[in-house]
Amino acid sequence: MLRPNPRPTSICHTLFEHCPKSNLAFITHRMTTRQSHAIKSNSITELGTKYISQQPILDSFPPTMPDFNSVNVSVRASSALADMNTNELSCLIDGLLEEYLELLDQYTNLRAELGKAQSSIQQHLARANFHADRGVRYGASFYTPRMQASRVCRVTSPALASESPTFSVHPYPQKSPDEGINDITTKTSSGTSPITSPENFKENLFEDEKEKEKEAGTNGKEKDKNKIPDPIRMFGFSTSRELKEAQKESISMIEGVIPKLLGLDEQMKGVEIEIRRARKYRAKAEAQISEDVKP
Amino acid sequence: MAAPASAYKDRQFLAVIGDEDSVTGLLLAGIGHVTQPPDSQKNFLVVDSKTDNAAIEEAFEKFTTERKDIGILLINQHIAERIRHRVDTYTAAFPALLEIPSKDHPYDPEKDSVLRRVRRLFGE
Repeated sequence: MLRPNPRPTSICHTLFEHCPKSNLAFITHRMTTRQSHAIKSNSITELGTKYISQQPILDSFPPTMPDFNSVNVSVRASSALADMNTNELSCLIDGLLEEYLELLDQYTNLRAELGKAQSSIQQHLARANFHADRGVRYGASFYTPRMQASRVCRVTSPALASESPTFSVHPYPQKSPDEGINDITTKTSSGTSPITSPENFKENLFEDEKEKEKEAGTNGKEKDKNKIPDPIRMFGFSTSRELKEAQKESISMIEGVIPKLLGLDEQMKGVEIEIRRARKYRAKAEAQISEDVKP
Repeated sequence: MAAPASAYKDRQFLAVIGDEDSVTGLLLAGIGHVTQPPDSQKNFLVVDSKTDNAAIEEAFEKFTTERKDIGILLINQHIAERIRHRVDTYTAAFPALLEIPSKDHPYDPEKDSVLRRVRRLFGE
């Protein structure tokens, strides 16, 4: 889990209080577009509205973001940077570095989480191997050549072109292999004819199959063909508890920590680019000043 | 900054290059996929002490450049170290690359590409 930002509004206050007026628009824009994960946009909008209403310089900059396209954003960012003096740029860089360090903190925590998850999976696997029959080792010898992915990733395009894409891993939208069995068991457990003998079981099974055929018709057969088996079935039908634990941990890691880490990495790359750009503009501004000072 | 949607629209699989236990753990989660014959391309590579670096590089190349259905590539950090020149020069946005620890080689922050980037940014 991502650690909640300990001081979301304090950053806004710091920046709005200490930064010069002319770059508030740029900072407001950056924070509302980039830091939606960490900072509540409501508070930013409120602050932005407050400062904009007080300062005529920002009248042209609406507190709620318009639909920027990538060109507009880059032009706005570059022009805003070009207009800033060295103090303003330094202030902006400080803000960006603060944001970057917060992302780095989250990254470090997630890295620790990933390490724990991996070691837990390995421990469960080692236990499963220890309890397995003699000579059996859960590994490459069990991999089936017809395996199908039951978990896939999705890359979500950002709302703004200046933002980074987000990653998510989710189950492939298919029925689980145990679903049919579960249907039977739930029906028999709640029905009036519990399974007491093999004959009863056969009758129930036959009735269930008939009902299913009526409901699904020919589509049922197609669905059965498309079913992706539980990956743990590669390792046999009666798998150990330890292997199931390893699977549970692995799913949790794949769906939780890994997409978050990748998303954070992308965000950090974005902030790095902005820091470098701001530093470049500051260096230019400083060079300009030194040239002006020369007789 | 953002890549066009066409660059990641069809990228739905996770690929992994790792030791046997790491790959087994990830396949348990259901990321393993073998394409239909006659290609039968796997999205994972099990690396052991006998696997040479050329084979790892070939798999890395296949997952990152040739295959357009891979969205995320996971690689054990100690294996990434064996093809470090390739990993460090990989700059494409997709597939996203993540180095993960393994049983025998815990996570080493010194080798983490993100933390190295951080050090560069702060001028170290």
